[in-house]
Amino acid sequence: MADWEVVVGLEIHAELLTKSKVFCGCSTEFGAAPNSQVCPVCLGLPGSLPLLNKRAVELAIKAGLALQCRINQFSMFDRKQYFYPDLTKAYQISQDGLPLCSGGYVELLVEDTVRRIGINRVHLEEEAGKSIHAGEDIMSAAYSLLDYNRAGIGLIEIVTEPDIRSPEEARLFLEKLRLLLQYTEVSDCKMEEGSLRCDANISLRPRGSSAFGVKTEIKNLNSFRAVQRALEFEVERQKALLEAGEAVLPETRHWDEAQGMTFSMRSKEEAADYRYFPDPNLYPLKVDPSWVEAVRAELPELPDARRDRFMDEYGLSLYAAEVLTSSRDLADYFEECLAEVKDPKLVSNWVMGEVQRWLKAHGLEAASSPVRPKDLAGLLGLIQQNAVSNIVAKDVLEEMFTTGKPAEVIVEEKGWKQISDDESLEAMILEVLEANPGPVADVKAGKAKAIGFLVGQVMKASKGKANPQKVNELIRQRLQV
Amino acid sequence: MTLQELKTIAATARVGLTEKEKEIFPEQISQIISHIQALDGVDTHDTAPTYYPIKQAGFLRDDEVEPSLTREQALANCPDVVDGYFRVPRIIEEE
Repeated sequence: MADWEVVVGLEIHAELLTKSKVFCGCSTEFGAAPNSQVCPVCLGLPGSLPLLNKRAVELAIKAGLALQCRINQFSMFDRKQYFYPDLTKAYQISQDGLPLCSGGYVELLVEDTVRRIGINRVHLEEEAGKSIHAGEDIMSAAYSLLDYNRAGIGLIEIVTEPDIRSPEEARLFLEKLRLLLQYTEVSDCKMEEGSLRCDANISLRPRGSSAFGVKTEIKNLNSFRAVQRALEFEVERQKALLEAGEAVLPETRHWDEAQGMTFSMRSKEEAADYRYFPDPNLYPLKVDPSWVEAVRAELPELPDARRDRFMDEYGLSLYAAEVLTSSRDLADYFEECLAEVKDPKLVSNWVMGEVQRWLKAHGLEAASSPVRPKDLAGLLGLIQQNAVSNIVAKDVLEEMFTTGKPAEVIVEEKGWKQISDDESLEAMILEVLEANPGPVADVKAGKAKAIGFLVGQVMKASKGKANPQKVNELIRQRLQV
Repeated sequence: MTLQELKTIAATARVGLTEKEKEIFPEQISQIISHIQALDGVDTHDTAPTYYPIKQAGFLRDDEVEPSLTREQALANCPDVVDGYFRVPRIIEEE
């Protein structure tokens, strides 16, 4: 049986975070009443003329820079023509021959090796409207309802080279791409709201062969998990065909999430000949290098650079640095807290551990955490001063999340302050030593392990509030060991 | 141009043709194409491609929200409105 190599290329559409649409001044706000954010331009009424949104160009340049692309000084807008009710003008303004950005890459860490996935191009275009199909789906619908609020929102289309070699790698690529677009605030990348969408091309070829096999295009991928699952399904389907000596048909296939299968999609939109030609209503787009440099200056520190800096500057492990830079919010949260506490290990442990755990359990992001970085710094400060033990601190944090009170107030109110003063501890230690003559004798006889038992008893008596190092020290003094 | 090519282009452009037009258009369009083909003989070796006839940089607008139409205005010319939506006939053709 032949050993097959998987070849995947992705096309990703991301909505740009502009306030107004790409060729008109209508709002891009999500969730408005249907057809309340439309005008003659985005409705494609005769005589209306598009006027390009400067910010949309800047965001597309930003995306291009984050993806290491060349920003072309001269690009063009073309009409991509097809008949479909979500397209008001019967053409979409896009960029065909001369896109804004070309030739970049994204680096991925796959099983400890760096994989470089090429970016063929990033171009600017406009969104189509949204259709709601009556009945089960588009195939059985008797009619469809159209809302054009989305029509004309600025989009970038990102096309990769066929460099992706497994379904898992496709998912990792998308996660990295989303991270970059969110870091740079180009797009909010919400797949559930449709602001990030992905189509996948996939083919197989015998390993070692340089020619490409026949590819299929998969649509209706509504989550990163769906991308991976659909590609896994398609690998097996194509492999079975090829090994049975049958041909893979070049076709568009529809992913059915519920059934976990792809289906051939025979709709009239398929036999498309887009007849691209330059849009005479729009001048070519000229971007001079000084504009590109001004946009570059707006770029934040990108995730890879930040990860490396976290390792160099704060001595974090690769794992910790990866987790903490997995979203810009979380990395900001970490650094804001660190600015006050100045102990990278302590802060990273708490942010990655307790804070992340609570946020995940409550479906929140670091940016919307009720416990702000300075609040966490307050708690970590108490740990540093030995005012609370690590164990008690976890309960304090839980209280902070639910009540919103500062750590100090909670510790005070609950009487959770760690007991470190010799006098209070001495009293408890004396009681424990009297009650446990056996272990005391063991310690005196040189069995150091028995100290742990005695410390434990004191901790228990103090309800976790005693400072364990201090207790250990005092027991050793008293027993003279 | 063959009759088949003519039919394909007409279908793609959603243009209806009469029987008479189907008869005479292939010949006429072929003549137009061969007339234009004279351009193929021009040496454009040292000529920069013309992407746009006017040498003018594009105009840009600032990212500011401007008033949209009211829903009533937006839907005014629609023959079939349902709950503020444009209603359109079945999208997928019968097999």
